[in-house]
Amino acid sequence: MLDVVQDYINEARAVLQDEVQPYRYSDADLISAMGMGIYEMRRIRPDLFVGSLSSLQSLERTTPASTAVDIDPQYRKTLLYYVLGHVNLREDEQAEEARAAGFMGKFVQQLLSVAS
Amino acid sequence: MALSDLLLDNLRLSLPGATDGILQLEIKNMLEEFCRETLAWRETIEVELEPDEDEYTLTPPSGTIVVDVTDSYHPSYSASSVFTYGVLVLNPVPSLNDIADPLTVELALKPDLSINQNLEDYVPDWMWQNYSDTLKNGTLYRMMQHVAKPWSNPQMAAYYRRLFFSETVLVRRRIRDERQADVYPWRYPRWA
Repeated sequence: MLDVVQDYINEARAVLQDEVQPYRYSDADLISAMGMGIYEMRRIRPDLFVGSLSSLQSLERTTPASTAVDIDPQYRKTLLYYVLGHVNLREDEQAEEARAAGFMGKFVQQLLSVAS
Repeated sequence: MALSDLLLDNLRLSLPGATDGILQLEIKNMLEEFCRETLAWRETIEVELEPDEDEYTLTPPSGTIVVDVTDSYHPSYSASSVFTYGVLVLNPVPSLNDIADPLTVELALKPDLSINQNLEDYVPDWMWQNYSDTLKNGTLYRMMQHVAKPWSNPQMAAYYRRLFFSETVLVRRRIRDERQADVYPWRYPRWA
């Protein structure tokens, strides 16, 4: 569960209701969002990367979907929230903007507190 | 189940959201602090004396660092010793008559954290067994004083810190008293 990049893409598509081609959000967009999410996690919770602080995993738009994502199981869902929030940011409808803010808030909250 | 695993399990229960990586890092830091504060980990080594040489670089067992020299013994040579920057300085300098026997030196050790090894191998088994509660309290205080983490808790950090340091003082005192009891079998009771 949420071991490789493809797992995150599948979960994100399920929540975004974007499972039928042509996709609204490309794989590259989702992978790029994951990469930025990892940087954000590194900033807020450096302890999650003890042992790899100087060689942080970098996910680019071209990263293969089979690439393993090195995140503690407790925080994999947190990264998924970042991906959902980030891709929703591009929407300009009010409801989507609120949804994006909700996901981003959930992302930060899960990193900083137990009850979230 | 290794005793270090038991400690890890206890910490996982008390610190929800903490990853094993940060727990292990803080356990190592705490072990270093515990050994440094209590001088509980003692080993003896033998130092070959040389005539007219007063400085000796000590080589501790692999994976350890010398915190202090707590005692020394030689059958014929009696000297005061000062340990600074990893070097033992003897006064007076040994003479040719003293070098037949090595000087037995008791060292207080702490783990060398720069060496990568299994957590349970950083300190001897007896330390995990005898001080399991103290080691838990020490790690809890170090973890709970982190800033902006799900397990941050300044009040409880202060509580566990007091607990840890009062226990380390007791350990240090007990070890010192045991040593004195060996040398002076009788002494006045504490209240006298």
